[in-house]
Amino acid sequence: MYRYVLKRLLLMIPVMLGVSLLVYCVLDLAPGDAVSFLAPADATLEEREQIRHDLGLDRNVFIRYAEYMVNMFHGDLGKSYLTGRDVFKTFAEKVPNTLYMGFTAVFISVILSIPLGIYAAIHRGTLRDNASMVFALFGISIPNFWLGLLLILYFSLKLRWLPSGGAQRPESVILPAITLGFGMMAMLARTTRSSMLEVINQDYLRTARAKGVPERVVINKHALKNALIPIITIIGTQISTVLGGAVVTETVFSWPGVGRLIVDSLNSRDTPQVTGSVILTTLFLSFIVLLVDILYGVVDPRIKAQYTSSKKRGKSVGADKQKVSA
Amino acid sequence: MRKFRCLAICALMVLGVISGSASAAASAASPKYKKEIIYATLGKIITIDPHAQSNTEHNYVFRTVFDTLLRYDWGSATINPRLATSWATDDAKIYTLKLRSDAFFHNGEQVKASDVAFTFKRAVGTNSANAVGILIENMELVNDFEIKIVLKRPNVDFPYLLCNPNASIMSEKAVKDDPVEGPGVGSGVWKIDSYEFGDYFRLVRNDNYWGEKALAEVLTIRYIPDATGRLIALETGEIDVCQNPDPLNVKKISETPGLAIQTWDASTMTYIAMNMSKPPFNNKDFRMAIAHAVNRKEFIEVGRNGYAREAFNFWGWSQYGHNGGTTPYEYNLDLAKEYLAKAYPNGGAKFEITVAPDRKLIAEFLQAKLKEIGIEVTIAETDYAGLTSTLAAGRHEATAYGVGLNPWGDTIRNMICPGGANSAFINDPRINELMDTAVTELDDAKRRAMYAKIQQILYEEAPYVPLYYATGFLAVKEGISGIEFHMGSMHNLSYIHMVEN
Repeated sequence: MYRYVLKRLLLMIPVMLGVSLLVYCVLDLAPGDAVSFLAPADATLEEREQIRHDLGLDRNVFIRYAEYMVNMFHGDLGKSYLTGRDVFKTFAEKVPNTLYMGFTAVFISVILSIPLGIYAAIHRGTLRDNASMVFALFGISIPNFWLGLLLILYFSLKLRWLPSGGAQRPESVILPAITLGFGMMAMLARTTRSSMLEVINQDYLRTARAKGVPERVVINKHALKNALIPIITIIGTQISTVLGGAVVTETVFSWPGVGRLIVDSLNSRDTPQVTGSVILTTLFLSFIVLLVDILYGVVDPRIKAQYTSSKKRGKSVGADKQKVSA
Repeated sequence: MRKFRCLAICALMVLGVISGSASAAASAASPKYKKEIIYATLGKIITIDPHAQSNTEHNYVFRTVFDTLLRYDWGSATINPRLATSWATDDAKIYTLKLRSDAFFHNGEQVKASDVAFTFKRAVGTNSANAVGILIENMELVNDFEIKIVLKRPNVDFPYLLCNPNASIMSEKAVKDDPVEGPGVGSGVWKIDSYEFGDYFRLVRNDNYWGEKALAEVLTIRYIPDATGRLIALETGEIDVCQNPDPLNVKKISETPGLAIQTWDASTMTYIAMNMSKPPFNNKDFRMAIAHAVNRKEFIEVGRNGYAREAFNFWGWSQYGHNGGTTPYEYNLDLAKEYLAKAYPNGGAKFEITVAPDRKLIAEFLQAKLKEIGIEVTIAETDYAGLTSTLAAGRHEATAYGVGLNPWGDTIRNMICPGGANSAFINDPRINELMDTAVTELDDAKRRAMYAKIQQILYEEAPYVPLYYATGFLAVKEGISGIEFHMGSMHNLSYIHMVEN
């Protein structure tokens, strides 16, 4: 298990290198640079060139990238071209907002979608099943920005119950979390349903029923546990999406999170801030994926056994090699 | 005893009546102001340093948190004292300024001439204040409250430059003690309480301000980039002021109970620039053909839903030396065709216009109109960063853009002389020389004559086709007032307030 985790951790290095190189080069290829935002409108060409020189933008992109990566491995993600502030600090300031909204959205999605998926699976082929899945289909089909605007119009503008944006008040998170959670909920409900359908008619459940185990226990304990793996995968993916991809929701609700930080920095060609944020997001996503993989083992002993057996196999292969060399 | 009790009750009643009427009078005399005003902007604020940025949103902060030496009043078009109580010059090269002695920075330090010297020395090489700093040759501190500024060459516009937010006076001690937060220490009506770049700025009233104090207690500037989101936040009462509502919504907002529209005659001019440094716009006849094929009224309808005033020549309407008598380009398609025939006797006229998304509509309209006289226009859309670098490098053929023109004469230099934001790449020795001479000329009549001549040359050379000066809008809650409007949209929010019912 430890070897597996270590291997996965080491694999993150080439992933981060690849992602950062891609971001750095694409930003360099994009027309314009941060000078447009730093120089006053009436700046002369010489003044613009001076700013470009001060930022090091007149040097080869690969040299700049190499320097950036060397600094990164020393724990320095650089300073924002625009604000002059530490990239990591700026990112870290936005993370709590994103996580707060993201986890609220995931929470909403989990507590609603899993019961919905189970309900649909139990009543497979009935009107109730169809209604549940139509509801879930809505969730997948409705674009985030549109749903967000609808919620704002109804709950903020018409009912005046909730704020339309910002993160100043505790209740500000409700509408963005619902917006984000609704799409997730749909996906999760469908996955729960199909996953439950796969296990619901298995022999061991029939046995449990025959032994007089109450249906509630059969479903919630025996069936759900075995249906959890795809559900955990989806939840893991959703958490990843929340950190890197809640841009639209953050924009509609003026939510000061990581997504908006990246988009704003991208628009202003703030290469260190974009690259640093993307590297940190990638790192976070990789950890989440790893965590999900480890969770598989916790949920399903068969997978844990695979990790262990691969370790043992590795050991025995190593022992065989030693024998041969001896 | 009973008598005494009666007397005491009577006395209390009389006192009650007196105090009641006194408090009623007091409340009638001093209205109750809303404690916090929330102003939503479309652009984000990313620095607290007035030498680092100079755009509309940053200047909201700088104009409230800092004091400048002088203050320009748009209403009377005059320069007035602020931190400087007086200023004098004989030759527009040496300026002597006397400072007030009762002004203090937010850190408690007194504003002194040494802070002024520090500020302008620091300005050199900075992103937004270099233009002021590099004019200065040296500064002499006469005493703690008097400074003599010697310029490298005479500049009659220098007092105007001292009114700009990028000439805000900074505290030497604060900046040296704390290079990160120190640049945000000013001596203005408001002081910075807390902020998060790209989200909000919370300012609190400076109760030790030397002049008139703010009426509200807290001023929050919130970044809401989406226009719809800003307007909804205003309608729900979450914010008090919504910057730049869509002109299409102006009528609806003004008809909504509890909301109002505040307008100002902005000096920001929208124009079409034609790059004279390369084909096809190195051909004067082709430029004139475009100039005469443009109907400004139609562009105002398309671009601003009718809310703008026509720009008859390439000069700010409120700018010194504006010559309203310069002939505007006549909208005349026959004349345009004549010029076009001279430029392209065999037909085949075409060009590319590079624009940012917010001016794409103008480009599309131009494309449609010019097609009528046989000119093929292709549109290259790019974001703001891409556009600015394209324009600075001269890679474009034409563009539709805007410029905020200040009240002083030399403000237009960067648009019509080499370098700067001269997206038409006009380099006319006559204009260059006249601009250089005019900025040193003390005689008002002579200076105005020079600027009139420049405007005439611009008309004849047609590097730009001026379209309109857009009317500025703020959507506000009813009762909001005290905003000192700036024609370039960098309003002074120092005395913004709202009387509560």
